Amino acid sequence: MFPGVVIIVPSYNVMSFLHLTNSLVGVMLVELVLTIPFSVWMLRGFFTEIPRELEEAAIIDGCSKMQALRHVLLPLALPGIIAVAVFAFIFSWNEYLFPLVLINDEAVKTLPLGVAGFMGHLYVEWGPLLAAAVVSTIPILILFIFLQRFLIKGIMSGAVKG
Amino acid sequence: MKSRTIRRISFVFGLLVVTTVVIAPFCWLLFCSLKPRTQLFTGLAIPSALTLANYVALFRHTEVVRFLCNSTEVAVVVTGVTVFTAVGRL
Repeated sequence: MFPGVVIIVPSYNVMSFLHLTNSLVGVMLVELVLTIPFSVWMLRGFFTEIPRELEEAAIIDGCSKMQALRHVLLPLALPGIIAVAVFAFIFSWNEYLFPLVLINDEAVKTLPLGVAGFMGHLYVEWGPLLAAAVVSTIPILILFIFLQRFLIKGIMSGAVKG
Repeated sequence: MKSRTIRRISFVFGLLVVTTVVIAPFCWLLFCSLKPRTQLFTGLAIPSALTLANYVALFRHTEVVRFLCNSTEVAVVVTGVTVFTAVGRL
């Protein structure tokens, strides 16, 4: 991984070429470019851990390749998929740098930008700033409460794999 | 037997310290967000009253709901596309 600062200028150039500055779609694209490679790499660890024989057994029993994937492999890789989903969610929820560069319009600002917006040049609105910070942690907190048990299983199993 | 107990206690103590260090900023944030504006910089002193005034001001006078919607939209789309692409790639 390299520091995100490195690709700020190129991504801004690309997005302005595509006329996607000041829109959420542009931010989504840039964030996807960062999350997808890592997620594929992480999920690969989970899927290689599942023995190939299971897939072969499912195919011998009459599954097509897609059915084997859906009924046999996906349930086994579920902790990994949830771990990846949580990673992507938290990453894009917290991302400050790219929205900051890509978005100027008040109407399409994301929450981190909104929180930062309470700090003006001359005056910091501490009250709303603190309240907004609390509000922005709540969704992540709720997500974690629901997905915690999957995630702990996921961290254990996908990590050590050459 | 005794050294084992000591090791166990120090382990639990270490865990407690780490947990405190991790959680303290969040508690501080929550605590400060409930203080009235005039007492924000009184440190850990007990404020005269805890209010929700900051939250009321936040939702009344700023566009935080819109920011929240935008953030949710971005996060949900990014998560969905990431998971589908990552599973589809394999």
